[in-house]
This record gives sequence, C-alpha cells and structure tokens, in this order.
Amino acid sequence: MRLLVQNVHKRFGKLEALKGVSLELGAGEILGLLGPNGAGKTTLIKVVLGLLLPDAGEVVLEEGGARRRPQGHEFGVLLEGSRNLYVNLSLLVNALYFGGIRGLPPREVRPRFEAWLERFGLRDRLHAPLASLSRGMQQKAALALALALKPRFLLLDEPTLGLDPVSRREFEGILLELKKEGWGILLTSHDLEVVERVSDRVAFLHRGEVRRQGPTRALLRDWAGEGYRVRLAEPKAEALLKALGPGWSAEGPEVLFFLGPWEALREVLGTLPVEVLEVSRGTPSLEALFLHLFGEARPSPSA
Amino acid sequence: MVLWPLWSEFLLSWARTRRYWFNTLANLGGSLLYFYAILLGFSRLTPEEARFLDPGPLLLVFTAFNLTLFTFQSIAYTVQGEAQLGTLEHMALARGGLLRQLLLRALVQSLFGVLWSLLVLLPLALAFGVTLGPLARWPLGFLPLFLAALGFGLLMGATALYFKQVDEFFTIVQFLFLPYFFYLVRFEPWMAHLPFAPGVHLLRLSLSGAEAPWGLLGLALFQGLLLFALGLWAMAYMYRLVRRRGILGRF
Repeated sequence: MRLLVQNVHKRFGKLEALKGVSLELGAGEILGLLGPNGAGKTTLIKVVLGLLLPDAGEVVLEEGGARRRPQGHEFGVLLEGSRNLYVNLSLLVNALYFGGIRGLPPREVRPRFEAWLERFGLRDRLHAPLASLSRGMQQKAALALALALKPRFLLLDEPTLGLDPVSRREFEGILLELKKEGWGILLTSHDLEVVERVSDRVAFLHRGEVRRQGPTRALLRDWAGEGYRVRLAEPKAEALLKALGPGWSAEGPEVLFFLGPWEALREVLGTLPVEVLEVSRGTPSLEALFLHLFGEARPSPSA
Repeated sequence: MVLWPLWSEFLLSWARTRRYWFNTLANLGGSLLYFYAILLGFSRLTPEEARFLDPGPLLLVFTAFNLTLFTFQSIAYTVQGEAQLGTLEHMALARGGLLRQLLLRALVQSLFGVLWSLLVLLPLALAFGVTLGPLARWPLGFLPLFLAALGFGLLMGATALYFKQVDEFFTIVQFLFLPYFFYLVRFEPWMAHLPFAPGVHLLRLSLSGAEAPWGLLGLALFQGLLLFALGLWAMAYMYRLVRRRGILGRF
C-alpha cells in the first residue's frame, strides 16, 4: 500500500504555495517532510487529508493494484497539536467522540487510547479536561488520540512541540515501533535530530517546491560525501568554529564536523588549542544540510 | 456505518450538557419562567378574548418552534463554533464527511431541543390543567417543518462556513421566524411563500385536531424539500469553495 502525492499545485491569490509537489509514502516507512516556516508543509498535509483542494495534481492511495482517492478518516493526524480537540472536555470524551465520527466503536478506541495514555504517563488524567493539562501533556494526549484511531497512515505536524527530552526520546521509540508494525508515517518537524534518527527518507520543501528528496543517509552522503567527526575535551566547538573556516560545523558544544580530505584535517588537528579526544568518520547531520539549503550554509558543499 | 458517528454526537451533546450544567439549568429555568408567564396570561383572558387561543396546541407549537430553532442553530452555530475552536477540520475527517456529520449533529441537537421543551412544558401543562389533544397524524405535519428547518440550518451553515462569525445575522434571521409560528388568527394565502409558514400551519392544524387539507400538506412538503435541497446544495458548494480557498478552519 502506498500513498502518492502527484504533481500537486496550490495557489492562494498571488502566492504559489505548492508548485508541482510529488511525494510517495509506503507502509512501514517514515518520511520526514522538512522545510523552513512557510515552505508549504502544512498546506501539503491538508491537501493529503482533503481539507484543501489542489488546483492541479492528485493524491492517490495505491493498494493491490487499485488506485483511489483516500478518505480523511483513513489518516491519523496531529494538526497544530491540541488545537483540534475540545479543550474543555475530558481526554476520554475527545477520544470517544473523534473515534466515533470515524466509525470506530468505543470498545475499540477506549482500550487503545488508555494504553497510549499509560505509555505517555497520562493514564490518571483520562477524565480530566484537556485544558487542565500542561502544553506538553496536551500534545501527548493529542498524539495518543491520533494513535488510538489506528489509521493506515499517520500525518504528524510538529509532533514533538512542547515535549520534554525524555518524552521526545520515548516518542522516537514509538515511531520506530509503529514503523515495524507497518504504519506509514509522514513527519514534519523542526526537531531535525529526531527526524534524522527515525526517518527512512526525507524531502526538503522550500517555497512550495521539493528541493531534494531521498533516503536520509544516502541524501546526506550524496550531498557532502564522507567527513570526520572531531570530539573535543572541552565545550569550545562554537568558539573554535569562527577560526576554522569553510568545511567545519558544530554538532554540539564538544563536537565538530569536518568535510574534506584527511590530509587537510590532520594539518588542522595539530593546531587546535583544545585536546582532541576522538576523530571518527561519518556523514554530516540533517541540520547541516537544512542550514545549507535554507540558511547560513555550514559547511560548504564545495569543501 | 452511521451508528457510531451518530452515537458520538449524543456523547458530545451529553458531555457538553454536563460540562456547562449552569448554562443548561439557566436555559431550563428561563424557559420555565417564560412559558409560566404565557400560561398565566392565558388564564386571565375572558372566553371572548380567548376564542382563538387554545393553550394546548399553542404549547405544542412552542415545542415545534424550539425544535425548529435548535435544528436551525445546531448546524449554523456548530460550523461557527467549531471553526473558532479549531475543531472543524478534525470534524471534517469524519467517515462520510463533514456534511453528514453536521446533519447527524442537527438530528441529535433537535432531539435534545424536544427533550428540554418537554421538560418545561409538560409540568406546566399539568399544573395549569391544559389538555393536549393532537391528532395521531401530527408527525405528518411535523415532517415538512423539520425538513425546512434542516434546509434553513444548512443554508445558514453555508454562510457560517464562509464568514465564520455570523451571530448577528443569525439573531436577525431567528426573529423573522417568530411571526409564522405565533400568528394567532388564520393562515393567509400570501404566507404560503414564506419559509416555514405552511409547515407551521399544518402542524398547528394537526395539533388542534382540525382536518388538514391535502393541498396544504403538498405545499408544506414541497417547501420543506425545496429548502432542504437548497441547503444541501449551498453547503456542498460552500464546503468545496472554502476548501479551495483554504479557509475551512480559519478566516
């Protein structure tokens, strides 16, 4: 089973929000949809859901050789988090209501919803109004609801917004489990570390156009080739970066990444004013690629 | 297929009734006082003054009015309220689509409307000794009215779908209904072209035990079906338009 977005165009007045976007999402796959604010990610998700009609192009569900337009109720969705729920009603009422309108009986929805709440540490808030929960908890509740509806495809728009680091890790684990179970997941997030760890493929959307797409690892390798990760004894990566020049990027306070030949690296290593603990081969991060495509590009691909 | 979407609307209505219990009680209390004052007024009329006024059917027409209003409001206010809450897009993902879900909500809201009206009117009727003697075929009088109310609700819902904030417009339109429901003397031929008028008159005749002419039934049914079809078309057209313009869930 595959979800196909084919040559979708969408214009709002003078703004061309989507310019011939084509994507593909298979069962048991996580596709990271990345791009700066206003790139068209949410617009594309709404087109897939049928909440927005495209000017041209189509969204097709391919199953056993047959092709058809997917229905909204076939998707689990997290759109702008808890804003799509009844905040003054309990978590349980929200789950049963939104499950019910999708044709799911309470005997199916409730145990699944409770199990997900248990997983997120919210089981004891089942009867509490959504508004009484913190921002992060509301996000988890909305996520639990999307998961409890057991859809064919899951469309998650900024799912990690408001989640603490522990919950984010837990969420990553859940995504990988769902993938193993055969769910197809479209994930948009500015939390690029999460996307890099869980996604099989990524697509970069910019001003309504897919700039690049492909398997995450291969895309990073193709873009920059192999490089070297340098672990420092002190958290001085950012401070050193200014003096190091092109080819270098910081991946954390104590980690530098260098794109270039080993000989060039060896020359620099001897001059660093900080002790180097480890040097290992690797590919640059998704964040580096994102910055390269949409912002201050570090490192330069030509390095 | 329809069972769980329908059940979920009952669940939501009941959950809201409980959550906003003070508002529910205030509504019941206010209606009780309102109808109490009307019945008190009737009881003070001389037989000559009251020759056109039979409190029994009139009370039932009040119930019909409430039902019509609930039906009308349920679709229009649902669209407006859900768009402002941000839940309209989620609701549009219902199995069968937004339009079907709105109709189911209208059905449930109407039933709640009848329930609230009966909770108020039956005790009052008993207290004042008002007799209610509707003909067995009164549902036939009610059907065209309900269809018209649904159609009108859909028409207003289509307006709300596009403009979102339309309270003031709705308030004005609601006042337009009143004369058709509460005219007290007779049905005038010119009224036939006004929304709801033939349906209300038919219902009034059915409830007061008078024979309803077939021509009137045909007219009421035609008007009900016409408004319903018009409402469906307007809603489907507007639903498509707002999805094309990207304003389903926002201004």
